[in-house]
Amino acid sequence: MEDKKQNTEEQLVVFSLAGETYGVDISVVHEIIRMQAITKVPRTPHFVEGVINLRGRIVPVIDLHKRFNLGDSEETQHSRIIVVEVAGVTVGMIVDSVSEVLRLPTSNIEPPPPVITNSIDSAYLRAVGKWQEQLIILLDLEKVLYENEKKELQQSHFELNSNLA
Amino acid sequence: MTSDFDVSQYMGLFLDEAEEQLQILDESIIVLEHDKENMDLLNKIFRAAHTLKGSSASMGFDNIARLTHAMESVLDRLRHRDLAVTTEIANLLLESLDNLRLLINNVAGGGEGDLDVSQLIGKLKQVAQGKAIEVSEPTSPKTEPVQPEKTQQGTAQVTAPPFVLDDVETNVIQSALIKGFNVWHIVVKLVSDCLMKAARAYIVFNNLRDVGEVVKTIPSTQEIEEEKFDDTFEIFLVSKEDAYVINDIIKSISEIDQVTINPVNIDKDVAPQVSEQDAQQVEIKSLQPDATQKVADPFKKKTSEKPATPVKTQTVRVDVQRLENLMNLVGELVIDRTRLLDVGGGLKNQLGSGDLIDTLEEVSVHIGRITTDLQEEIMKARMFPIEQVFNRFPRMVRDLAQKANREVEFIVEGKETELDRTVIEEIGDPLIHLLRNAIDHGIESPEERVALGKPTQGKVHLKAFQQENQIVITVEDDGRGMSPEKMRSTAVEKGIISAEAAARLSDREAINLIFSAGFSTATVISDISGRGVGMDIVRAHIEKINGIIDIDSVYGKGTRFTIKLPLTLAINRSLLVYLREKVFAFPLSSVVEIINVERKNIQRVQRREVVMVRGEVLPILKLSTLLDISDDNEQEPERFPVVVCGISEKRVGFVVDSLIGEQEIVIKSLGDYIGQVPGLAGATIMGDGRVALILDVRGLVGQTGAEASGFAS
Repeated sequence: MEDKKQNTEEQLVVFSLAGETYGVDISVVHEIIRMQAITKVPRTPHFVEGVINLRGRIVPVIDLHKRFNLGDSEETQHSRIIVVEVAGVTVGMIVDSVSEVLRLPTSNIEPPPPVITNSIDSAYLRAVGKWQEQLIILLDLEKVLYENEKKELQQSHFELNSNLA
Repeated sequence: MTSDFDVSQYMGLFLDEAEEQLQILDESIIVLEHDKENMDLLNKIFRAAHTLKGSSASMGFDNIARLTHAMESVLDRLRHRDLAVTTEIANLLLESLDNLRLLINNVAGGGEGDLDVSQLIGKLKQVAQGKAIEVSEPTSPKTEPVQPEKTQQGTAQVTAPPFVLDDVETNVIQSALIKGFNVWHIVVKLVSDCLMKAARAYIVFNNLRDVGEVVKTIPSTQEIEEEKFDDTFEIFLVSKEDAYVINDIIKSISEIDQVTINPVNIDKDVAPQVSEQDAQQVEIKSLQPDATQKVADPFKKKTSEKPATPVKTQTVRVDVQRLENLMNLVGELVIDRTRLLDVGGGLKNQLGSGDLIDTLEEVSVHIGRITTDLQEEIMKARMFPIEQVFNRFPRMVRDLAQKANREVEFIVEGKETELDRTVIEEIGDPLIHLLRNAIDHGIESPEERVALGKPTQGKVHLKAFQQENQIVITVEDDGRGMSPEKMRSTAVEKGIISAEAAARLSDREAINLIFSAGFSTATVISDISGRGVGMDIVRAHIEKINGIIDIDSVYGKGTRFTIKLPLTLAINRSLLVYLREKVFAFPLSSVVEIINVERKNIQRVQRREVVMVRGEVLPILKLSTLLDISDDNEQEPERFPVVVCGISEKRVGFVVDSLIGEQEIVIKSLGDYIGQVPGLAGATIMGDGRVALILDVRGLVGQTGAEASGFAS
């Protein structure tokens, strides 16, 4: 494993969210776009901000602040939407800012400790990387997008139906 | 019978052709059962079976070839009126057809087509031979069961038929003879099941070109290229070579059955003889059609139907996804066009008129027009005739009717109506359910019908036509219809609605209860087949493709289902409205009217807000509340527009902030991640690039029949 070059380091898109540094694997990132008008979609989970028009495609956008229960996000000129494709689904994620693309040696990456921060649920973590005395939280995007999300979607549908009945 | 070429490359060709022939068989055999004396039809069926036999044999699918051969034998007896078309024979032919389908599917899936059909073949042979003994026909296939047509054609073709030469050809041949060349009249017979006759003929010509010059062919070269000949063609060759050399050359080509070579001798004295032969030829020609009409005819007919084949080669199969992508790209173009116009307008304001600005304006207008055309063309590329779906119904109806012991006349109209591909894919199942219900539960048994004073044969009428921006499909029967009373009691029994609610329903609404979940038709109207398909599922299916289904039923007289479908799923005419500064789109198909309502006219009935419109009670709902985007401290205006929507027979008004207008929009799904949101049909991209949501009216008010009845009073 170690003799293969591509495995000796990971390329990450590094971004910040509520003062912490996060990273996602660059291979799933389609593009990074500026904030734009988001159309809210009613009857969806709270963290789904809505949908945007990405060159003729309708792409859902989620707010990672709300996803991780980090409180309300504030849109600044640094805010970006990272468009990722996970398991065939394209989703945009709102982050506070995108800082850089980083090559992180695998030796600097460790499995997540039980509790690293009290800000986000460790279930969403894939690993923790160290870079110049800084911790980078590597996200497990599939979990970020889907874990509990289904439950919540169902929940919102259920509530709706019971409201109507 | 695999020849020396690789069959795999012809597989697609074979399957396409087989599908075409199966379709012909399918349609024709059904009709034949009622139109027993129709010679054209019999010939058509025979031709289809024959073609299938030929192509399957050359592909090496022996089972298919054997089965079609057996069918052909029976059909041949029918064609010669040695046998009469009976239901039994029709059943047997249909059974063969089913087996053929299985075999071909098997082959298509990479199998060898090794399904056991020997029993069926035995049955067919029995039928073919059974009566053949009584009728002593010289051309009985019994003597030569393998290739019946060979014996019929053999006599005419193996001996060199007389030929006719025009002046030019006579001249050429004469001068060749004078120069010491040999002139050969060559008759080539291809094996009867040769797959690519034209190609074989071409190889023959090509090889002969090495040794001489082809002066004339019968039929003409062009006709041979277009495969307008049976198995045999004639060549006049000017060559220095001897007959055996030429014989060897031709025989070295595969799929050649027989070659006959005769010298041609024409000199000035003989010339009149040619014209004498000419006369003879005329006589023979007039004879030949009689003798071999039944075999020759099919091919002649085939040539007249041929235009279909070249058309086919001009089509390209395109992934629907690709069309979808194209559509998306055009959508972007539309957006950019709008922006271009804006920029142009802005520049004009800033800089005033000028040559460049005028050109820009011109160009952007032009681009706009092209974009619209492009969009239309792509839409058209997705359209298909509904024939594809309708064609399989006659057979199904026949089988169902037979099983349920009904006499049914099935009338199909409007096969050519075109629909979007995606709609076509979805509409099949609901229609099958409706037809099945019409036969099982609608049409009465013949005895019952007689007792009721109806003709014994029931009618099921399937019709498709275009009405403005919609496609309408109706399924109508003249059976027993539905009793509103029975519908009410059953609905109450099944706990779908309360007795009071049921009593309040109008007859029409009562009949509409059939669409409620849990309302099985089987127990309501009859239980002959015991397979009532839930009509709620049918409706769900139709609604999935943005359609509407309605029912009219007169007890004792019959039932009619009317399905209205959008021409396309991709584009929808919509009414755009503003709500909390956001744009929402109502599909125009569900909008009945727009009214202005003053707050003071709103009344409350059972905690629901209603207004009186022309003497009728109209429940109104706040769209903002339904969508959960209401703002508590918002000031409600005194007067507001209400979009009145129709859901089947019911009317509901939705309160909106303001109206924008009607517009064609491209429907896009919200994607897998968000999935289906109740009340939303999707999203669309507006001219300014923003996303607007498309409402699903039925989803907004909920789906259950009980709720619906709540609105009705």
